[in-house]
Amino acid sequence: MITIKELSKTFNRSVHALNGVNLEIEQGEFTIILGPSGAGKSTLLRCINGLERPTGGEVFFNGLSVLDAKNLRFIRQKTGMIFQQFNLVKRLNVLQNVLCGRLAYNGVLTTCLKLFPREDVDLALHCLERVGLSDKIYNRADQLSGGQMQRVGIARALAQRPDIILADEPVASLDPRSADQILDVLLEINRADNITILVSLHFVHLIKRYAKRIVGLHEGKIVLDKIGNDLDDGDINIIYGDKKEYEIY
Amino acid sequence: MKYIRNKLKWLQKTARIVPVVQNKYDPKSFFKNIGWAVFLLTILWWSAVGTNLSIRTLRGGMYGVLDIVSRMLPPDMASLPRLIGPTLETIQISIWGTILAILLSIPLGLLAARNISPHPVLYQTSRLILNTLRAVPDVIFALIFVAAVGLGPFPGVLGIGISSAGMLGKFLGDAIENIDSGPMDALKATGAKKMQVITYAVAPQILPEFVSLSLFRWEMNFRASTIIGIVGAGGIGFELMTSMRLFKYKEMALILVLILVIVTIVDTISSIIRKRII
Ligand SMILES: Nc1ncnc2c1ncn2[C@@H]1O[C@H](COP(=O)(O)OP(=O)(O)OP(=O)(O)O)[C@@H](O)[C@H]1O
Ligand SMILES: [Mg+2]
Repeated sequence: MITIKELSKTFNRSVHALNGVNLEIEQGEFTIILGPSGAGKSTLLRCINGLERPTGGEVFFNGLSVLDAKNLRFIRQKTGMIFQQFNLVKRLNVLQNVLCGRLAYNGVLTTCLKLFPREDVDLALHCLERVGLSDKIYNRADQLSGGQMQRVGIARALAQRPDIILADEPVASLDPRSADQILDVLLEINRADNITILVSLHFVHLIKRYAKRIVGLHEGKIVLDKIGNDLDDGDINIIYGDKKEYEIY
Repeated sequence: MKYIRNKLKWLQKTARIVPVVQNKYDPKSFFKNIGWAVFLLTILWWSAVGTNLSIRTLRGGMYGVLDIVSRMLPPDMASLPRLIGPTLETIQISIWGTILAILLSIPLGLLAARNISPHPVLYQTSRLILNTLRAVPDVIFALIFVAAVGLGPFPGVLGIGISSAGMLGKFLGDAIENIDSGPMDALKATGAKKMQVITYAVAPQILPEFVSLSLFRWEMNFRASTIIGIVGAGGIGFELMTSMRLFKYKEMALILVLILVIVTIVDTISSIIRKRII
């Protein structure tokens, strides 16, 4: 469903964040992008929904080119995104944050008056129930804990009724317990709704127990593509080089 | 020179208290800082000469001040009924002036924020407009509008509105440029349209500050409305000017008291609103 061809991204003409990435992702797949800090994980995910414009190569979403401006809104509507820093609107309440996932489905005039169709509100409430936050609907987003904020982020993505969810280091700012919960929610969404999920992570230990596809990224290139529990120390060396940064965690 | 430099290097290595600076510490910056200090002192001295700053003149002038103040007291309460109308008019001018300013500053401010402005040309144009509006004093605007639409409070509203739009718009543009781009990215990523991103990700982030500043501007506008009354743009300022011309010091004192009372009320109201919003 996602086809990435020879994707490159260079910042300021000198920083090569991505260097000819080729990747094919099937509908319903759960894929983990693994790589050290600065490997280009965020850049890769942000190229998929057009938040970053590639300097070379192409990205297709179900055959539609992301580079084509007229496809962009539709592709984004069908693509949920979850961020390391949650990126909730802090001064809005939880429900309003989740309803942000419905903006693209509604007209500018009504939504700017903060009016939403009843089905959308029901859907948002249902999404909050799935992430276990039914009791926080009217709390302001900045009153939540990190794990709760990330669950609101997931609910916002779910409210889009997406075909794919891109999660950019969704657990990097969380304690281990919340991190496990968040990854479990993502796995459950993948299993129950058959939504394609692409997660970037930089800890190895979080993923060994999942028998999922692992794509290793190192300095903007794909250096590995295999199933998670086959991962051995040699593979880890390939991804992290001699940085061994994962050992400190 | 060399001696000082070596001494500084030695200090840098051995001192128990060391400067922690933005960039790598560089002994040369010590001389640069001295240079800046000399430069600033020169400017201060130059301005003092230019404005004839003198303690002696001030001491001599104290008698004049005391003389006027004694002639102002007690305020002439008999004119109170006549002055109530113009005072309320000044409040009305400040209210509509501020509302006009807010209405004008929102589109200008949105265009004047680099991160959401649709085009660099629009960005530069609105920055230019905002700078012009701020550069021209409000009395001048009031004068222009008095000439255009005649004497009375309406040109006052226009003058106040246009000149405060400059400050509010610039502030809005700067505030938007400084917001956290994360929520904006997140909303763009859902496919939301530009106006939706502005309403849901930009507005909530800047609203408290913008409301605070608008209220503060309202207070300023109340005082400005008294000044622009002097050029015939209505309100209490017009009365103030008349009593000044006729040397009616006691009436002037009453007008100043009235202004003080209103400023206090405006200040109280705006701090209540501010608390509600934040
Ligand atoms: N907007 C930008 N401007 C300039 N350089 C950038 C920008 N975004 C990313 N880079 C550079 O591109 C490279 C890849 O960054 P990216 O954020 O994709 O890495 P990452 O794998 O997500 O790392 P992390 O784990 O730290 O989030 C880095 O060297 C980074 O400095
Ligand atoms: Mg990243």
